[in-house]
Amino acid sequence: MLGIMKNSLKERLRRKDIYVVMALGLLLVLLCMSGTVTLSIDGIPVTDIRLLLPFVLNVASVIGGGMAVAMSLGTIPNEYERKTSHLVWMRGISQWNYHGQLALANVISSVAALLVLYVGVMVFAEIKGETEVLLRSIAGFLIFAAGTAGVSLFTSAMSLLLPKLAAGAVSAAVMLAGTMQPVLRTLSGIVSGVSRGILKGILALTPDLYAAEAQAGEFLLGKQVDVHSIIGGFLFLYVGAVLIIIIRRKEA
Amino acid sequence: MLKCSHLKKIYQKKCVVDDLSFSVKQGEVFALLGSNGAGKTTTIKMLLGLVPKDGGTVTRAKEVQVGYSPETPYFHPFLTGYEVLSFYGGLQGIPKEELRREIPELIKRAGLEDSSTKVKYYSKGMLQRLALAQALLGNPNLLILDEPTAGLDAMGRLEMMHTIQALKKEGKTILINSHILNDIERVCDRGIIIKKGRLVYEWENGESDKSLEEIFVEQIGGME
Amino acid sequence: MQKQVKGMIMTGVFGAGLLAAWLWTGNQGISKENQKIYEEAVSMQEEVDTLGFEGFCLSDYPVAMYDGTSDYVFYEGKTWKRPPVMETFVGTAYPVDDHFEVIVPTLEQFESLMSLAGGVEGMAAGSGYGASEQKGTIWHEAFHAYQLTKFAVLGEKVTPEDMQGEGEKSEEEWIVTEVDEKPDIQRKLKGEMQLLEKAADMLKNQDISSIDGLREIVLEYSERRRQRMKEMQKSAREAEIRCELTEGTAYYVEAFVYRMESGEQAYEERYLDSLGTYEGGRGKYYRTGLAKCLLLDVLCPDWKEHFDFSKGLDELLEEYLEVKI
Repeated sequence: MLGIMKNSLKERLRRKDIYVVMALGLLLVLLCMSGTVTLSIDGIPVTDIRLLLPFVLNVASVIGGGMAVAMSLGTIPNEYERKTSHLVWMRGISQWNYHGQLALANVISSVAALLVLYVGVMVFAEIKGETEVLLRSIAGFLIFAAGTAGVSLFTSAMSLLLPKLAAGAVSAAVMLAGTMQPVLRTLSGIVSGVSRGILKGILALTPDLYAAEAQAGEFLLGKQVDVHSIIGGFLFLYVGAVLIIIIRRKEA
Repeated sequence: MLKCSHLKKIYQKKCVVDDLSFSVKQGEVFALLGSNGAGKTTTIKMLLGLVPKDGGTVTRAKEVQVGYSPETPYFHPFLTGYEVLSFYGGLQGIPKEELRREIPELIKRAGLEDSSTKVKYYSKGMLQRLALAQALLGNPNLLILDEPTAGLDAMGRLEMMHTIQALKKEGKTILINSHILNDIERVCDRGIIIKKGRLVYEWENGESDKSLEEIFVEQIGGME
Repeated sequence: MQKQVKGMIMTGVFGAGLLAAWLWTGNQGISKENQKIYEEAVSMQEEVDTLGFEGFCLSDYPVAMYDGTSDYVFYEGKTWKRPPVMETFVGTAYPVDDHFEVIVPTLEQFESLMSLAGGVEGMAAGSGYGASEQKGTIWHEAFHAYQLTKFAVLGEKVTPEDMQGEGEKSEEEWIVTEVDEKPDIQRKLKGEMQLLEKAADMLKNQDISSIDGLREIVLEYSERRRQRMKEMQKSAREAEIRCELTEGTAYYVEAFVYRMESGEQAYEERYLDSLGTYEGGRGKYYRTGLAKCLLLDVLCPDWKEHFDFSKGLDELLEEYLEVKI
């Protein structure tokens, strides 16, 4: 029943590039945690895990988002380019089922890549003696992964609608604007005139992925989470899924 | 078994299939003939629902199950031949046990010696054989073969023709799109010649003293 | 087909539910944590009163928390939502209609900025930003509202209308061009700051047995500062004095609140340990101002009795030194 999805996952497992991407992402996260790259506030390095964790999770979510775009961008167009789609369509598989399964494979691989990064962060937390963080890590990951899964679905949907380059640019822009919302909000408060209008527009049109993913950090540290932000993350995921269902191709 | 009435397809304001009507009867081997760009492949794609029609209808009996071998067979390059058949069989809803029995038979029938090699290492001929094997999955009663001998060497072509003849003997209805007229004349019962998307000649094997090649040249406008 | 329609309806219903939940939770107003921060900040009034700034009361000023989309205003026991007056990413005292209000980003806003942008103004030392820091910021900005509402700082009364308009060259610009970008002045100021830090260290270690020693340091500091000031333009001098007076005292209130909240050690780490740290822009005068307030507390404990922001902190220190000399 999920043959198309399984096949797409099989393709990724047999292609080696995904491992390289994951290894690079993990390396970056580890660098952030090892002290090679440090977070400092006015020149004073921050080493406390309770402060470092949200920062590292944010780095992981941006890298994870980038990987989600990269991994989700080509899957559906490739099927049509190599015309394997012909033999699927003619077997009466509906488009939403076909695209849905391919997009699901994208989501699974994106979330799996994110999980690799996340496990890295959890190992770091364990080393720092934050056992409590580990106990919350599974539920924390569900919150954390919603935004990344949304980015993957959105990228898949865009790849159905736009040429590959444009789809990649739009998806990457949405992902970056989403994960950097506080910076954009700050900027929009500083600048004026047209730039302010543009920033306001971007803020209104992009989901606050930062807030959604930041709740994972709050949850992991045992702080109160903002349900609104979490629902926002899932809403973006839903919109991505609906786009996959409603966007249709004319030809196989 | 299959009836097309007034099919029409427009690409970028150009009519590539224009008011095309024909029907394929049960058990016959029917040919779609025409030079390159005549609209044969587009017609087949419309029959299969791979491109939307701009006019006309396609009627197919309910019990008709279609197998399709595309003109340029592309498969997922990371799969082996066996896995390709297993994948498409699965999509058709054929149970796994049945596939385990069916796939080796199809491999043998299509003359696919090596089904454990990844498809990306296959020659064009091997891909054609694999395409035929996947078209036969689930034992369909209507086969649509788009250029089934393209890329095959002389021996391969001969074997393909034998296979088609054998399939006909089994009672399968076959629609072939090819421009290798000798092959067509050998296996087909009837056919149509299309020029610029329009039907220009209805051919029936043995009805005329002229060879198909002669008729084709007459209809298409001769060799330059 | 019927199955498809059913699926579509279910997807639609699910989406509508999700959207409704999102909208509903978005309208829940400000989080309990932020409300608690405000309430706890207000409850510290009695302790802050011991500082001795006459008529300084947090609840006199509306406190608005900006959450990225709206302001939530706390005033006279009520809380209400309004479109943001100022989309700020740092705490500020800002004119609203005919009065001054405290506007701070919510804790979540602060935290998100911190993890992305790596810190905000006034966070030179210490370990991040939480509820205690937020309370400190609220008191800090309330103190600015107090200054602006009740006093003519250095003889100049600023009304809300004045602040709405664009000024000429700002305090920050004067400090950057006349201090930060002048290596000689900068070097001298760094030297002065080290003296202040040394004096503050004596306070920290409660080594005030030799009050004369402390006075010596302050005297030397005062002399060096006076010499440096001679080399600076009038406007730059005024900018420095004003900034040190307004920000230094507000930082002093903030540090006091933080000390109440987080204890002695955290207070020392966050405020005292960085007193000698030079930083571009106005930030350094928060620290020199704080150092001077702390010195005044020891050398002239009644300095706040008739304090009306009409004189710079140095003037106060020098008055004291002159009397004693």
